[in-house]
Amino acid sequence: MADLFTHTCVAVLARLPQRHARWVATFVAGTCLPDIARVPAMVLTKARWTVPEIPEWSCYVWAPLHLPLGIAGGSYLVALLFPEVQRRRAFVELLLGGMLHLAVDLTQSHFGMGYLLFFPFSEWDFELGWIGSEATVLIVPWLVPLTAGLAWWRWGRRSAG
Amino acid sequence: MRVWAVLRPWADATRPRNAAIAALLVVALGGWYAKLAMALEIGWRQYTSDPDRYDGHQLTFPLWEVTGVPDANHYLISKVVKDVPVEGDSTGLKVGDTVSVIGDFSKEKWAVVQRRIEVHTLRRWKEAIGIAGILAWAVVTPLLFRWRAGRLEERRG
Repeated sequence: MADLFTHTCVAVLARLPQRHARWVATFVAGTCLPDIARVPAMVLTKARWTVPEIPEWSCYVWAPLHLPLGIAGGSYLVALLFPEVQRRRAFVELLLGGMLHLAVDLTQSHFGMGYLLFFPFSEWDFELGWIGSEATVLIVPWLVPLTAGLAWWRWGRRSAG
Repeated sequence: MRVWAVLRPWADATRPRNAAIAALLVVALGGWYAKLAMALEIGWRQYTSDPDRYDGHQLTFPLWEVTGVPDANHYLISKVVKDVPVEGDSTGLKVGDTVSVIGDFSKEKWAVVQRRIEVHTLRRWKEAIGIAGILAWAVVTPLLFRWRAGRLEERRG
C-alpha cells in the first residue's frame, strides 16, 4: 500500500477540475479509510511476536476493509454518520475515494501477490506491479507541496479573497 | 426495488437497523477472510504441517521483517508467522530489515531455500512517512469535519 500522503495527494489532484472544494474532504477521507482500517492489523501482527497469545485471526479480520466489498461496507457505515439528506452523496464520495485508493495500490508490486478484488466470491488476486512498494517515498517530498499549492490556487484563493 | 423500499438505506428511521446489518456483514467478511487466510494452501505453516507433500514447493514472502541472522548463510523472517528460517546469503542483512523472498521449502533442511531476495532499503522511510501520514490525518480531520446535532458534516459543506 502507498502512504496516506500519496493517497491524499492523488485524491486532491483528481478533484482539482471541480470548481468548489465541497465534498473533497469526504472523498479524501474515503481514500484514507482503507489504510486507517489496517492500522490495528499492523499493530497486532507485531504485538504477536512478543505476545503469542494474541490469536492469529485477529491480524487478518481487518483485511477486507482494504478490498472492494469491505470498502463499500465501511463507506456505508461512515456515511450513516452524515445527516440524512447528505448520506447518499457521502457514501458515493467515500466509496469513490476508497476505489481510487485501491487503484493506486494496484500499481505497486508485491512479488506477484496482489489484492483479492472479488473477495469473497473469488480468490483470484491481481496487481499491476508497475512500481515498487517503496516508490512513493521518493515521490512524497515533491508531491505534497505541489498538491498543497495547486489546491490553494484552485480553492484557497477564492475563500481567502 | 421492493427490497430497497424496505431497507431504506439512507433514512434516519432505519439507521440503527441498517448500521447493525452493515456492521454484521463487515464482521462476517473479516471472519471469512481470516478463515481463508489461515487455511490457504500456501505458507510456511501449511508446508511444515505436511512436509512430504510440500517438499520442494515454492513459497513467497512479500515484505517480511528480518528477525534473526544466526550466520552468514541463514536468516529468520517474520510477519503473522514468526521466525521462518531461510537458507540464503545473509551478508549485509540485519534485524529489522524488510525483505521479500521467493524460495523453495526443504523438508530435509526444514527451511526455505532462497531463490530470490529483495531488500527493501527504503522501507523504514516508508514506515516513517506512513506514521506521519496517520498523525497528520488525525490532526487535519477535525479541521475538515465537524460534529453537529449528532451528525458528521464537512466544515466547508
